[in-house]
Amino acid sequence: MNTAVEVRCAAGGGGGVNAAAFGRRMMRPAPAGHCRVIRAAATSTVASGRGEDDYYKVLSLDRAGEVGAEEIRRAYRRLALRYHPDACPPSRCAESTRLFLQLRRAYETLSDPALRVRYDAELMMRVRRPARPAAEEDASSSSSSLARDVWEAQLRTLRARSDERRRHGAAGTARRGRWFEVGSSAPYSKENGQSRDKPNSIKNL
Amino acid sequence: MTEQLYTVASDSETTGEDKSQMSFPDVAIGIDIGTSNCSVAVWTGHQVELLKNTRNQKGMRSYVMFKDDSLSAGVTGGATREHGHEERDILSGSAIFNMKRLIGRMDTDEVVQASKSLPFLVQTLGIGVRPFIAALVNNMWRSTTPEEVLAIFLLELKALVEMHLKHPVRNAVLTIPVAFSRFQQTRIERACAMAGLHVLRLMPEPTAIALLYAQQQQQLLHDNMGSGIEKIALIFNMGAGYCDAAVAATAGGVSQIRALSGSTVGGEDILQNVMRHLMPDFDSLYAGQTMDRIKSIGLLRMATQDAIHKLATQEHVEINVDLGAGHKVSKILDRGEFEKVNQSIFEKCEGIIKQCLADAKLTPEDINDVILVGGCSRIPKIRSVVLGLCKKDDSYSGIDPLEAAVSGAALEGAIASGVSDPSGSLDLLTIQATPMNLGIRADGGNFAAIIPRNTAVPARRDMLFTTTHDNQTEALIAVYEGEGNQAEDNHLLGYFKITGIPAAAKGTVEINVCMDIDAGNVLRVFAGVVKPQGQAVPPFIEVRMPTLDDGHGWCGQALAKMYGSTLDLATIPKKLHP
Repeated sequence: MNTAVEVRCAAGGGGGVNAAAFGRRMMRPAPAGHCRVIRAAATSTVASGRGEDDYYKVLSLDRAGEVGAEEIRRAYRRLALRYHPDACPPSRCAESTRLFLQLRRAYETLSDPALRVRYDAELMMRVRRPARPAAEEDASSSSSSLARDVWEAQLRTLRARSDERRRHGAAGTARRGRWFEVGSSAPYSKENGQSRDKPNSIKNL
Repeated sequence: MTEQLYTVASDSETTGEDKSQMSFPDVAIGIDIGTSNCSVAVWTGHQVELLKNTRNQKGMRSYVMFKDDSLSAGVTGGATREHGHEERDILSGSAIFNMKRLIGRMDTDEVVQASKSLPFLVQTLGIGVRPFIAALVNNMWRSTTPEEVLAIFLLELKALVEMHLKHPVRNAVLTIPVAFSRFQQTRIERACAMAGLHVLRLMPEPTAIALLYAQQQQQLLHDNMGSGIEKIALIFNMGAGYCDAAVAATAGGVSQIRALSGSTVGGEDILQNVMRHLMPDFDSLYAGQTMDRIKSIGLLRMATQDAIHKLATQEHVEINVDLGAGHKVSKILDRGEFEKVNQSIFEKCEGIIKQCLADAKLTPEDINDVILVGGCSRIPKIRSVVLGLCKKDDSYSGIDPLEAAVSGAALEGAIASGVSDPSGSLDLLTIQATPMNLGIRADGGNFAAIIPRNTAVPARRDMLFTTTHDNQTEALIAVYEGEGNQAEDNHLLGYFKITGIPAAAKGTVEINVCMDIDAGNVLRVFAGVVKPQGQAVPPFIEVRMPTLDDGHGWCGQALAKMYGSTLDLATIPKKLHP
């Protein structure tokens, strides 16, 4: 399996835009491959300008599907086994460290319900107005709509959480993270799914 | 965009060079240097094997014996060939032990102060310098250092491994206590270097155990006995010198450390408490490090140790020991009394676990398994405290309490050396977390944590700071590690100046301080001016920490005296992330 280790980390050694290198890597069929979609995308201008990719793609998850907390965790662990510097040969240490940091950032955001709601809302904004400079005139309206979206999503999450608590309160199954699967992911991924096909935001590699 | 400035710098050649020097197929060995016992293990190609010394022991006493011209360590049982006399010889003043407690500590440290009741010489001045340590050779105190003692021990251990493997070894993974400061870690690395070992990883002990647990869970899955669902384990490890706890979330061969906490309490403290309880006037009876005192203390120590071991299974124990010169101890010690004497230690253990659970944001109900390891895990009270806090009836049984840490270290050694097993039994990973906050001094004497504790490693975090005076052109970055809110309550790791800051009104300049911990747990600090930008701004500075050679102590005070607040920085609230 020594060769397999090499393959794992062989791509994209030459630096470049790290997000893009990471995306290309994702095109490889994952050996464990139980995650549905590995559809790598060139980063939108906004994303690459800020040095970060679509967190769902970093975790090779399909946003259109209803991604639950357990699925995010599983994807994170599977990729950690591939990108953590301990799992890569020492010669790829710097590269794998960078990839792991990126994976970690994605996971930290998506595994925190509140951060994920905000991130989902921001991601929608990126898709809605992909061109960077034209943003000035409608900045105020879009930012207020962003705020409203976030607020509504948070309310929905909170409501779902209290529903869940009420349901499980007597039974005493206070499993963490469950309410959030019910709450936040479903409505957002649907909307994202609709806008996903806009050609200028996401394209196939 | 600003990130680019130091992203490039962080992938520096030093990392590349360090790593490329390692000969790749060389599998790192795992070493657990305990305060009291040491063990070593290797990955044999399909499993981890603990090596035995010539006396057929897996756990070897940690000490180095100083004789006329020869030195011998506990690996081969250097004190004597006769097993029964070993303990007496260790306590004769000629052997140095407990190096793990002494290493990298200053003479103001309470652990060093407590070590003065050991049979060898520990002399302190109480001013924040290294203690003077010496072993008795031909009725003379011969000086040494904890690093040197550890290096001699490791050298013998290395020879043992090479004898078994029939080839030279170079790389090693060592387990260390969670409570070890970065400065202490550098001392361990130095001792290893003196012994010709290259440290591939220093693993906090409970995280090595988490790796072993991950392997066992994977094995269960292979045997179709596991469910593959994430399991939360609380790992509690208490040896002779230190006590650690960790919460690990494990599934799919990956153990994510959710929280770590540790403290400098251990079996040694229990032993000393009981000794003091048995003979409260010991210090007044024997003043100074005389031969009488050494002999008596040795006898008392052995009797007490024996009694504590017996109390693990018996309700009470009879202690009868003649210390010579008319001093005698004869007493019946029962378990209740023992527990009362050591109450403060058990409370500390409780505190560690509570903090760990709180940091991991978990309740006792979330814990699936409680793993108890280390010599002190045999003490009934420790077991009941840990299991009680986790609301469990029994602990996880699949792990040997004395061999777990070294087995985990050997596993990590194989993984980090790039060994892979066709059956996939090495597709394992422990994602480490930082045990302590890392940050700099800012806002007066405050401590601004840049990488908070329990952040996953490798980690990179940054924070913005600004000047505190108008036209301030220089700023001091003083890097600390610890849990205190005040900078001075923490360990000073090092410091450097940013010079050539463009003159501006206070609060307008933005200085970015970024901390980076790589996979080898090396800490680098990058700092520079990010606003205003342009040619007039000095380049970023990268500093590998710790830079200080001698703990904290005087440096912080000297800096404060010299510069006052003229080089101070203030925090800028971080812009909110999505």
